[in-house]
Amino acid sequence: MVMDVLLVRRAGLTWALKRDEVVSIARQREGEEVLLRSGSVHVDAVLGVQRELPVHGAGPILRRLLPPACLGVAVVSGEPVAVLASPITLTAVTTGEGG
Amino acid sequence: MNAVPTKTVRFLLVQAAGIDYLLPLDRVRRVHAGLRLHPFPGAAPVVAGLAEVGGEPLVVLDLARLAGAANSSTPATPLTVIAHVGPPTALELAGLAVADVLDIVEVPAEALARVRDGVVSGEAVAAGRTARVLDLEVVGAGP
Repeated sequence: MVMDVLLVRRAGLTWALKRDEVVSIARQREGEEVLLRSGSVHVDAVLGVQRELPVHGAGPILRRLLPPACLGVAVVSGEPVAVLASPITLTAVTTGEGG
Repeated sequence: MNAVPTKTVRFLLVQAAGIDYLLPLDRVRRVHAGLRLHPFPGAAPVVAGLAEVGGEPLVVLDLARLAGAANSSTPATPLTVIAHVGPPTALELAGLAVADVLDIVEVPAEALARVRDGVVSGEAVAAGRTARVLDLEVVGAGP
């Protein structure tokens, strides 16, 4: 599966948010606010847009160990990336609420 | 009279959180030193982090936690054993963070004491050390 995504940094990891869910980005005093169709999420940094990112879907075993909101994993520029099914879940995932 | 050949099983002997473990060698693909682990918020506690290996993403599990060592912490500069987990019909590649890789050992099948406790399936003496045998087939199968 390939996706167009916005790459963001939060809680020590790079996350991929579906590009077509993103409406705008606003710089904050600390970090940035990403406005989504379904709400907004705060991130430490916006890294850029990646087109046609190949996403490795986790198999049934590892899927049980990853956050439920995680669609799969990927690599961009040598950095591992967690891909979210729904960008709005980023806050819940990174605060330990599972998403 | 000829002696009946003893069936042996080959393992990778590793150490994590001060405990020795035996990983079935036929499940091990390779060992990496110095993989950069990124924390994976929201993942299960057995997930040590996410890494990149040869341009591919890799979910790395904390072997000691996987084996039930409650208070283990992933070593600061772990070695990562890349191995197949899951049943033979649905193998998945995962990293296993360990503190040290000690040896490759051959253990007579009858010397494996069967003890089932999560992914720990037994115990054996290998290279003069008592080690827990891990069954990577059942990773992720239960709570």
